[in-house]
Amino acid sequence: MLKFTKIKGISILLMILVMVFMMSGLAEAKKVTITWWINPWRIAPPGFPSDKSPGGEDFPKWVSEEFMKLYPEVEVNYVVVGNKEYAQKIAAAIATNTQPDFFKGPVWDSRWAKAGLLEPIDDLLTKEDWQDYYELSLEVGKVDGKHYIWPWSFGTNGMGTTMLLYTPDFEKAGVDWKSIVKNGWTMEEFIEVCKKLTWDTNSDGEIDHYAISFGAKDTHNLLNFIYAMGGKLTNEDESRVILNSEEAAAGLQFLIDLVDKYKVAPAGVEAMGVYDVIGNFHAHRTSMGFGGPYEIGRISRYLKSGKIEEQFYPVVAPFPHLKDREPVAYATASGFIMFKQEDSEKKKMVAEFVRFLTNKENTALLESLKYLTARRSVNKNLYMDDDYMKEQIDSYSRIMDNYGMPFFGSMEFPYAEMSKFLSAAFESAFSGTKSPQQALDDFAIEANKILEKNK
Amino acid sequence: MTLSKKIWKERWGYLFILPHFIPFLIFFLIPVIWGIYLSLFDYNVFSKTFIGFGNYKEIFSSWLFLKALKNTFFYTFGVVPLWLAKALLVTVLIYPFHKSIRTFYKTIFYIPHVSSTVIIAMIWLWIFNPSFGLLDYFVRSLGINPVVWLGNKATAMPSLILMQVIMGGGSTIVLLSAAMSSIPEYYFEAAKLEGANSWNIFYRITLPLLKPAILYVLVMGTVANFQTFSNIYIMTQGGPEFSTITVAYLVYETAFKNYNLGLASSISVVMFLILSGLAIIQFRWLGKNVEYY
Repeated sequence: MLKFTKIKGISILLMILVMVFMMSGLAEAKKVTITWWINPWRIAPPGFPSDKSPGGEDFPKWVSEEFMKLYPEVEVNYVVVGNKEYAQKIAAAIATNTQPDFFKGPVWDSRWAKAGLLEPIDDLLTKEDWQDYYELSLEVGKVDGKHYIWPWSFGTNGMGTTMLLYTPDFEKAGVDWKSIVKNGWTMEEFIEVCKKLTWDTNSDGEIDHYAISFGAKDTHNLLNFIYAMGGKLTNEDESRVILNSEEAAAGLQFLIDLVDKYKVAPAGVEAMGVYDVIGNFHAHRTSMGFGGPYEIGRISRYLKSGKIEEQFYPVVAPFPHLKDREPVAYATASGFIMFKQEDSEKKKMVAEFVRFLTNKENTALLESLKYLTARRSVNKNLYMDDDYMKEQIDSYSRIMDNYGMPFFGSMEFPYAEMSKFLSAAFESAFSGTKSPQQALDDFAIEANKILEKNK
Repeated sequence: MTLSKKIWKERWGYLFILPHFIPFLIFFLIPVIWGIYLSLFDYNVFSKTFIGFGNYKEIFSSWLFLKALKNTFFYTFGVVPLWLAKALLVTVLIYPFHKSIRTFYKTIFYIPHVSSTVIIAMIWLWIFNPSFGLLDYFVRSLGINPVVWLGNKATAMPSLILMQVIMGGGSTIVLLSAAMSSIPEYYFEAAKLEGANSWNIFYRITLPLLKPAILYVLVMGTVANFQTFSNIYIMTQGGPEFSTITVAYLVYETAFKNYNLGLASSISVVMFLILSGLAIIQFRWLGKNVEYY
């Protein structure tokens, strides 16, 4: 009798345990799981030690945890995907229907929106959002009249937008850099300044310090000069690539002359890319670099991680311009893109998370990365404790606001397929195997074939 | 005996090869067949339209594909013979040494084989750097103008070939050393007694008896180098002016930058057919008079 009672008791206990386990499983099953991808954005979350350099995981980890605290019924999984492999990973994910719920990355394709894969954000933004976001930051995600990119950052690292001047070299050469920052400079003035900033450091008869360097694979900065001379990638309705105009060829010839004729930039442009150009500037082999506040932030990050030895404080300046034309500056924006959801509850939570990511407080965290945000109200209050950075941000936003323009066409323009032909054109022009006109003509032929195929 | 009875009789053999065959089926055979199937479609990640041989017509009328094919052949037939020559030379040179010294040299040459290709490529990027690289430092010290190795379309591909020949061949040396060790010593002793010099011994004894190993290395080396991707991806991205673009890199660009998976699949199928053809030719041509002992 006692044995039977014991067995009965153990059975009841086991049943209770199984029920508790099943209920917790059910509770887990009720949780909404959100998966999101982001490329490495080394943003310092609140409380991050100031003497350390944040990694790519710190911000997504923090923001996911904060959202889960607000919404305990939501499980958030983040994935940090490197820039180089982002395109193939997202393509593979879409092909296998394993794409994340939303993502922020260096690539996206307007054909995904046209194919109905993406969720438009028009109904998800508030009236205040529409007024607070810069118009360009909304336009970059517009396809067929709907908007697909929930704005977050405005501008990029500044390549093609502004230049950076290493002021000690300018002062050594007796050049008034403050006037350049405030008033800009013409192409003629730029050449004269470059000549003064090129010298032989160790008096061995060989130039080893240059004013500036270029990379053929670094299309943003090269295109600024071409656009400044009047060149353009496409005609008004984007039905034709016209980068082989006389003005564009003249712009490319100007760049080649800086290397071959004026010798103010080192040879080997055809083999160099943007990181070679950045490296030259960081090592003070050149007095000028490219980029905006993000690139100033890179100096601090590289110093903290030991990649460079010296902290220095370059100033943001506009690119040079023709006497009768205004400067140009590459302007774009980026943000979060949502895939369509079948489950309405999940769609609601995904939108809520993106709203949380892009609210004013969290958007302001871009300050740690020296990025401009897409919100006017947030930018007004950035860098209040740092006069130097405030000045650079103000210069950068002023230049972007006044002269900003897209370089690569609208979102519907298939530039990604053409980019390798443009790099090849620059390589052939700088190596001398083709004239600038021939190089750009060949690019235009291939680009227009691609345009025709995509119609 | 019926087929089913035969299979039942051999069931244990089949069971033992199943753990290898199942992953082979899932991760190789099925994707290859699926790739051939996809090559008949205009397939990007969100839509699929049957176009028959449309993709094949497109690639054979594309100058970029033909250039990639030409570059791939140039790279493969530049690397493989030089690799083989280097491996043979090293094998023959270290053969007379004591086993421990042979092992030491084999280890040295094998280290790049087990190192990350990405790291090797990045180190060589610095060696080839036109302003600060080691190679141009030596060139300048000889009084010659520095060369933009990876920026000049005449030197870019030869530079990649040079890099691969210097860094590669380690596994070939190990294989050829093992094959050479299995050649009976009395062949060489008899040859020496007959008055043969080193060249005669190498040409008439060593080389013919190493033929099976050489054939294997040749086929595997051709297949591996025809598919070269990571060096191009890290060092040149197909430039300058497409002088280093290879078929494998074109597959990657077409699939993951242009999102044209159908076209990329058709390029892969063409590559597969070319490699199969090359392997058949090599076996037929070089496989004659191969002696196994």
